[in-house]
Parts: sequence; C-alpha cells; structure tokens
Amino acid sequence: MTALVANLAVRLGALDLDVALEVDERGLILVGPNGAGKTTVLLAMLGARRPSRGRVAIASDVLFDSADGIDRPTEERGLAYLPQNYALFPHLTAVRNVAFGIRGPRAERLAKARGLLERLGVGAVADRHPAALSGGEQQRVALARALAPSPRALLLDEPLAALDVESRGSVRDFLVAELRAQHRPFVVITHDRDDIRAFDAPVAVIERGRVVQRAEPGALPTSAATSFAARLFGSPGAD
Amino acid sequence: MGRSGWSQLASLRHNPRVHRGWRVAGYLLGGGLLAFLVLPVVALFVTGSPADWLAGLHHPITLPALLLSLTTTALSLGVLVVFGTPLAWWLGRSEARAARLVETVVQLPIVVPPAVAGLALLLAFGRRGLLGPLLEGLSIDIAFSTIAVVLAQVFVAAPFYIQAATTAFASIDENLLVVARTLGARPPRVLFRVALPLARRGLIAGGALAWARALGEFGATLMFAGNLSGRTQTLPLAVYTALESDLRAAQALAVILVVIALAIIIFLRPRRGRHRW
Repeated sequence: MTALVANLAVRLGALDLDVALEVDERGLILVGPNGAGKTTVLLAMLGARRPSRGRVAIASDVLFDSADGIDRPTEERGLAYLPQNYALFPHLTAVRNVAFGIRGPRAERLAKARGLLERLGVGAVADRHPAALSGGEQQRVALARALAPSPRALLLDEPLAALDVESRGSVRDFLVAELRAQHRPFVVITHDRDDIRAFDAPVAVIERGRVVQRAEPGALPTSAATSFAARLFGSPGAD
Repeated sequence: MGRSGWSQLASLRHNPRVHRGWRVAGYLLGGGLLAFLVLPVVALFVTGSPADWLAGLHHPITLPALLLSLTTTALSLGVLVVFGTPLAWWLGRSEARAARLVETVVQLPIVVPPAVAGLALLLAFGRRGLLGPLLEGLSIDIAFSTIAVVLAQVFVAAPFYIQAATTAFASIDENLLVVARTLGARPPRVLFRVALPLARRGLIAGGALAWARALGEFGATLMFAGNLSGRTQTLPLAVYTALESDLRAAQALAVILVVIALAIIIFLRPRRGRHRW
C-alpha cells in the first residue's frame, strides 16, 4: 500500500506546529479546534508553507526533507488539494476548471474533463461558471478537477462544511464512495462527527499544533485526551 | 451634552419643518460645490463654437502636441505595466514588513508637487545630476528630450497603476494559486492563466487612471523636459503656450484633453450587474 508520511515542524505567527502523520489508502481524518494547525499541515505537505524542519514522502519518493535539502515544488509533488471553499477558478467554466490539470492537445483535454464531470454526475453543468453552480455541484467539479491529473494522494480541507444540511448527507456518501474507489491515500479535515463515522478512517486529533490523540476506525476511544476530543468522541448526540 | 441635549437633538429629526431646513441647507452647500466643479468645464465648451475649435485644431501647435502626447503616454503606460506589474505582485502578495514600507514609498509621487518632482528628476538624471557622469559616459542626454517627458510621466503616474494593481493582486484568494500549482502549473502559467485574468479589472482600471494622469502631466515635464515643440511640448504644455498667442487654439487643445478625460471616466465607471468573466 502507498503511504504518505509527513513529519512537519512549522512556525507561523502564533502557531507552533510539530506533527508526525502517516496516511495509507484507508485515509486519515484530521480533527481539531480552529487554529489548531490542520490547514497548515495540508499546506506544508503541498509545499505552500515551508516547514522549518521535517520530511514528507509518498511511497519511496521524498517530497521534502530539511536534512537533505530536498524541497520539491508544489507542481511536482502530485498531491491534489481541495480547499474549504473549493477554490474553483471563477473565470473558467466547470469543464475548463477540470481541463486545467490535464496535459495534451486542447480538444483531448476538454473531452477528458467532460468525461470526468459526467462520471461524477455533473456533466450537465460542464459549461457553467462556478458562480452558477450549487454547493454540491461545486464540490463535485472541484473533486473532478483534483482527480484529473491522477494525483498520488488527496488532501481535503473541510470538504462538506460549505454545504447545507439537506445536500450534506448525499454529498458525503458520494465523496466517501469516490475516495474509497480511488485507492489513494487521502487526508480529510473535518469538525463533524457524522463525517468521522462516514469516512471510517483512522483519526488524528490536533490541538495547538500537536497530535493529542489517535484513533483507529470503528474504535473511537472511550477515554478522551482533551476536552475537545471528549466533545468529539463523546456520547452520540452530545453536540 | 446632557440627557436633555440628546433628546432635543432626537426631536429635531422628527420636526418636519426643521428637517426641511437642514435638507435645503445641504442641497445649497453640496449643489454650490457641484456647480463650481462643473461650471469651468461647461465654460470650456460654451464659450467657443465648433468653428473656433476646428480653427484651433488647425493651429500649427496642435497636431505635434497631440501626437507627442499620445506617443509619450503610450510609452509611459508600457513602461509602467512592464516594470510596475511585478512590483505590484510582490506588494500585493508579500507579507514582509519591507513590502509595507515600499508601498508607502511608492505613494510618494502623489504627494510631491509635480514641479518638485521635475526638479528632483533633473537633479538625478540631468547633466549635472547624480547619474549625470554615468549617463554622459554612455553619451545619453536625457534632460529636455522626449525621454525626459516619458520619465516625468512615469514618475507621476506610477502610484496610480501600482496601487490599483497591488489591490487587485492582494484580493486573489491564495487557495486559487495553490490549487493551480497542485494541478501541475508552474508559476508563469499560474500567473498568466489564473492571477492576471482575475486581476484584469483592477489592472485595466489602474492603467486607465495612470494614463489619464500621464496625459495631464505638466509641472514635472516643464521642469525636466522643457517646452520644445515636437520634442517635449505635450498637450498640457501646448495649452499653456497657446494661451499667450491664440486663445482659440488653447481652448481647442483643452477641449481635446477634456474629451479624452471624460472618455476615461466613462470607461472606468463601475459596471452594475453580475460579473461576467
């Protein structure tokens, strides 16, 4: 199994981040309060934040190693990123958003992008701009765009947070099934206990830049390390 | 003000007669200023006839000045876009303290009087200026040349373009740039396919403002480039020169400048309705 391994120390303003994470095809759920450093972990894996020291590798391919002076640029890391607001390019139609990451002749790229959108159930809106899409549609287009270059791993920052309650459940089921089918390591940041249950992946709780608790899927801990973890893992319906 | 004072003020607002008094005073004050702003422009048009303007257009001073203004401002705008865009990118995207300092420095030409700017340019690039010996060694003579006109325009217009471009670049969501990189785009492609299209409106608005400012440039040009017909005499300098001999020509030149300025303002007017990308 391919694994994404990250040991990262990042100092950024008030944040002092120092975490060790290992992600395989079962995925990893990253939870923690606001400001804990979850997004910074993803950005550092991508190479958009420079760690003061650490190492990031996928399988045997080293993406960053402060000891060896390795720092591969973001575009060569092969990691897909789905930020919280999806960050669809507002000036491009859905199909052009997806085609952005595909190489080859123009017609071929657009055809591939269209095919990908159809597979994800949003072929009908391929020629619309992001502003004219619903939240669920935006998420599917963003997922199609992230998958288009065949990334080696996917990093998703609160992929369901922007959705309303009605669409959240169905989009979640879709996302879980799609990520499972990919057989690639993925990291999902979330605040939501239903998300944790649905993704059924190992969990790491981050608080103030440190991993304070880990849990295996299906075996959420009965003793919580911190009050945040207690609220998260506590009795069903507690929040 | 005590409690009774406040309640008095509050009752003022509900007294229709007093309310109307304030409103009328507001109209008179604001309307007075508006009239003051509009009247000179109206005078420019109504005190001459189209026949006068045509005659003015044929005055020997007009055509060279118009051509010189159009070529020099086009050059200035080109210089600003080529050199100013990378600077604005850095100012807009960097969180370094140095960037904030530079942002302030870049604003300097707005507050420096144009005549002072012209003198400063002369002391920097003139024959006896700071770079004089260096430029003389390269046999480049800038002062009182068309190049000096362009430099004066770039100096005074730079803040308008750089400020607008900085704001446009700063407002781009960082996630868009990061995602573009994760999709395999190297920085130049991110710049041309994502950043520049998103900043386009701001860049065009800043370019138009800078162009208008360059077109109207007078003081720095007069000090640094002089007033030589065909070489350094731009439209504003021609208006000044024509005023001494032929009011009609001056007025015709002024009308040309105002029409261009109006066109820029109309072009710049924020458009209503949904964004079309």
